Amino acid sequence: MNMTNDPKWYRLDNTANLFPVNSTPTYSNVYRISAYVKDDVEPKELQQALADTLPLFSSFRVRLRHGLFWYYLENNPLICPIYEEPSTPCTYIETAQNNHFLFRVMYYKNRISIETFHVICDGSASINFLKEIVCRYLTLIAESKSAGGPTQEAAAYIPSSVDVPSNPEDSYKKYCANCKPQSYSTQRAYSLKGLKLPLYAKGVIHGILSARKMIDYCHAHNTTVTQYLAASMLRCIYEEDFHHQAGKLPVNLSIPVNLRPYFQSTTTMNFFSQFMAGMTFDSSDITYADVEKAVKEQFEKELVKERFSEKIAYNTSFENRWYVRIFPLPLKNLCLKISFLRAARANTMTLTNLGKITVPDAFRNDIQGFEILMNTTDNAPLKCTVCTYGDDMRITFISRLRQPYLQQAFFKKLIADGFDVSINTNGVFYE
Amino acid sequence: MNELHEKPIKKCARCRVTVTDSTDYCPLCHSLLENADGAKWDYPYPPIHIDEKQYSFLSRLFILIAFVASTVSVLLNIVLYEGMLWSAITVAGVLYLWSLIFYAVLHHVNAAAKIIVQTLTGSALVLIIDYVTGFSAWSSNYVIPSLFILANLSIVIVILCNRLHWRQYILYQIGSTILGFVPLILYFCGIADQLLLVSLSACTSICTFAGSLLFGDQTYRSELKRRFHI
Repeated sequence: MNMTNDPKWYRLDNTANLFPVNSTPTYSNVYRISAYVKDDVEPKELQQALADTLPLFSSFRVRLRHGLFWYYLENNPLICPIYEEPSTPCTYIETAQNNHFLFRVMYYKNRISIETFHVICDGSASINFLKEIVCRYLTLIAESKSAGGPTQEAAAYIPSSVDVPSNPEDSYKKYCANCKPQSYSTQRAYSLKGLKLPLYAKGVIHGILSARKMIDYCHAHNTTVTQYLAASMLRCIYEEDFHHQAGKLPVNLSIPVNLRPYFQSTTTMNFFSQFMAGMTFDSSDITYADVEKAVKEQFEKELVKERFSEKIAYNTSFENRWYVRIFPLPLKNLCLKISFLRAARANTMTLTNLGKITVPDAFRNDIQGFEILMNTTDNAPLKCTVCTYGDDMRITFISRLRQPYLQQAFFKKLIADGFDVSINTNGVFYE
Repeated sequence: MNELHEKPIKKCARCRVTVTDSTDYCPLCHSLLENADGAKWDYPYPPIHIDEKQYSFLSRLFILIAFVASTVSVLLNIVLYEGMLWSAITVAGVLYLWSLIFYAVLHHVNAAAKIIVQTLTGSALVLIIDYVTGFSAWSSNYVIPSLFILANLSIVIVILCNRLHWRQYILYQIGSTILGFVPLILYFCGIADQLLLVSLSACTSICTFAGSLLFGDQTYRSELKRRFHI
């Protein structure tokens, strides 16, 4: 046998154990982050940029393997190919057809995208990887196009965020100590209804507005951007789905939270949690002020380090039990799938705000914007992502519902509040 | 989004949003936009190909034939029952064919996994045939041990053919090593009564595993550590 050197391997972080079990062609657990550059993308330079950047990000240079008791990640020495974007975003990654990589880099016109299987990392870590690929790509383009080569700043640019191969840290385990585990609510939430698009088709609508204006508005109304957007979304669901009538089931927005700032972690693996912001519309005279007040209270209660510590402790408590550890993987998968399906019922839709994305000064003029897309589920057929680059706040809806009635109501609400919104789509709603 | 602001401004009078797609209709309410100019849709995303089919025609046809064949044979067996449950053979045959087509041929999985699944389903099929036809133990004495010996040797051949990626077969090789002892268990349970092939199956298991440990050396042991980490 050809015995090559032992590849490095890593255990999956606590959250990542969920994703291989619950990923299917219809629910892929894949998210996409895209960057817009000035000109159409040159595939050759992009492939080179990926080849140059990948060795610096060991958490992406892996493949997924399964043992008898757990999945694990193993170093992948193969070359990662790039692709032209397929028509549907965030599709299932067939790793066998992708040299076993758990992400793919794609291009279409002037857009460079990375689609990542959530097993590797969360959005915050993926953004850093994409930024480094794009910066390297722009440097290569400048070298190939201009006789003088790239600008001095671009040529002297050193990647700011590489991850250290010897330090893949499961921050969940590191920060779970000394906390009383707190379980999640699995009470069934209201699920959005409506005719669905054909299988695998997804409708994307981006709404772009001024970030400065949004921040000023939120300051003036003593709220935060995410609180304002969550309250507006809940209000729209109340108006459009409940028609101002009382309902029994709560409407819950799942809000993912990047835990790194709370725990001073720099991990490049997953380190996020989520909480539910929502309310039960149990009367027919609920005003926007009522929704806003309820959302504000939930944010203040949930967005504290202690609450996250309790949730982390709850999640990791299962993994640490000896009888769970010695369960064979197929049985673990079955249990995880059941618990995941139960937990998923408590979610009406997801709203995630990745905040402000910055790039090095040398590339600010060449990178025109960013966007984020997530996959949808049967329980939550509509998801919303928000990111800000410069003064452009991009609110993206990705939907499996044929009619964009909630998106329409949401943007109408923003316009009524004084924002200028311009929208563009992926064309599904014209079909 | 400088590029977006440079495009001619088209507004929806109903939704009051600016639409930057190259279209004359609002994607939210499908109303005609202000300043419509007959623009053709310029794809900011790749053209949409909506595939309404979940399964191909051949798959559907196979499912129908399998269902009809199983149902008809069970019904005929019940109506014309003469002491033999021959329809169990038809149903088992259909299920085996199913695993052969959809798992071994069409499914993209590890070759060693396919070998193991085919060995298990094949063994179940011959055991059912033997049982239904009066159980003279030809399946447990000869066919099943032979299948497990073949499985063990096939996995060794697969490993040798794909030496660069031999690690991916280890878990399955251990699985087939354990399965190699199944005929021996059948013997001790009284289901088989011929020791020759039964013991040969167990011997093949031990030899292939020992060979892998010996030639695999340290790398094999560290692979075992990875695969069996708790």
